[in-house]
Amino acid sequence: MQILFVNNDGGGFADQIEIDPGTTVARLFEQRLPGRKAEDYLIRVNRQPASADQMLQAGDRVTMTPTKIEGARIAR
Amino acid sequence: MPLKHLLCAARRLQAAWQAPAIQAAREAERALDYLHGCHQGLNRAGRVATKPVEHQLSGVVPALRRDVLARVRALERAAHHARHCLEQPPVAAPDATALLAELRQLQDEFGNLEVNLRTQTITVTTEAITLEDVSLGPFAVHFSWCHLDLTEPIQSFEVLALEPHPASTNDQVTHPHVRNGKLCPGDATAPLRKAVEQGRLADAFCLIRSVLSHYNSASPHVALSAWESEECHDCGRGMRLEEQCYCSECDYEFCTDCTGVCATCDADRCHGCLTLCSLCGLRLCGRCCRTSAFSGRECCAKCLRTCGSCGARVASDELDAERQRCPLCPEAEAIVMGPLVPAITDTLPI
Repeated sequence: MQILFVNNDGGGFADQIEIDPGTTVARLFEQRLPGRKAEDYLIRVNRQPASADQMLQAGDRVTMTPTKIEGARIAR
Repeated sequence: MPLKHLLCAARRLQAAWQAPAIQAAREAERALDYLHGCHQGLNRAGRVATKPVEHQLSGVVPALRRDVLARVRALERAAHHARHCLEQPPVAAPDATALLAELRQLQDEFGNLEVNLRTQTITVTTEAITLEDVSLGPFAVHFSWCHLDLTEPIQSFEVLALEPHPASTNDQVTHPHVRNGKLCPGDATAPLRKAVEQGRLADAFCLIRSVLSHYNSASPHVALSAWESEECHDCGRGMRLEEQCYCSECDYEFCTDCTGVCATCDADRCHGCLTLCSLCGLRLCGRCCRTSAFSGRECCAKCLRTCGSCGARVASDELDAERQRCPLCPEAEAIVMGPLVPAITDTLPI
């Protein structure tokens, strides 16, 4: 099944991705952002806060935004 | 905020996003028209250039060939520009429904949202931010859709401290990564650009909040370690209170690296107000520095000696070791003794 995945870590791309039925939010996080800590991210499903074990549905909109981003002196 | 107000804002936002898309489409259209015109011009010039050859008018051939060549070059430039316009990804303006959802999400994420249709701004307020024990207060993040720039989206945002606690060395720096109300988004630059480009306003504001909530010690406008500090008057480095040294001679504050101690009285002075004794090399403050009456050299009191003849204080290496006299005294003696003797004898009765 397909969902819209918005990864605000790095390039900030929004892509339609294919996931297995029954994929939870936590599983998607592990797949998409391996090695990262979920507590360092703002995770929203259809613009709402989501629990780790929430099962994703076809057509869901999932965004993952880091809560700690390094700013700079000069815009890069 | 009433739904009607949000809906009105969403429609205006949509118009703001459509403007660059319309502009890009018009530019591409103009580029193609120009390319077409160049192509027609070249065709005409090419036909004209072949006629003199057919009629054996070789004298005008070079000028006509130059004209054709110039038109070929113009066509190349026009083709390049048209290609550049067409290669740009089409700007897809978000629809009003999506923008309305963004505004409602913003309200949920921040707990506050102001939409000013007159000034065309959206404002949210962060919670009070404290980084490494430095309290910076809450920040208002303004997004101005009348200044929407999809190539440099950060220019559409302004970050203002609501309870400013700026760096003591620069009151325009209200956050390590904010100066003059402009955020330097650092690692958030790319996702922020994408978010604004796609009309994902909630993501854009959340990204800005993530930058404000974090400190990158490798690249701040002013380091948090120097937030409460003054600037060293000599090297300009920010100093914490405990690092500051006051120089009472020039009345400025200096860092410890730019300060020394007078070897005689132990007073702290900046390097500019300390003088090296020309004999022993010790550092001296203005009060402890002495001057040789003979040479004017600056010395410490220990390196001065008193002339046994005239009583002047001179540098010890300037005093005649045997006679304990300064260099001026033998000459003075000669001046006194020399001319006076004949003068006196002249006046004596014979």
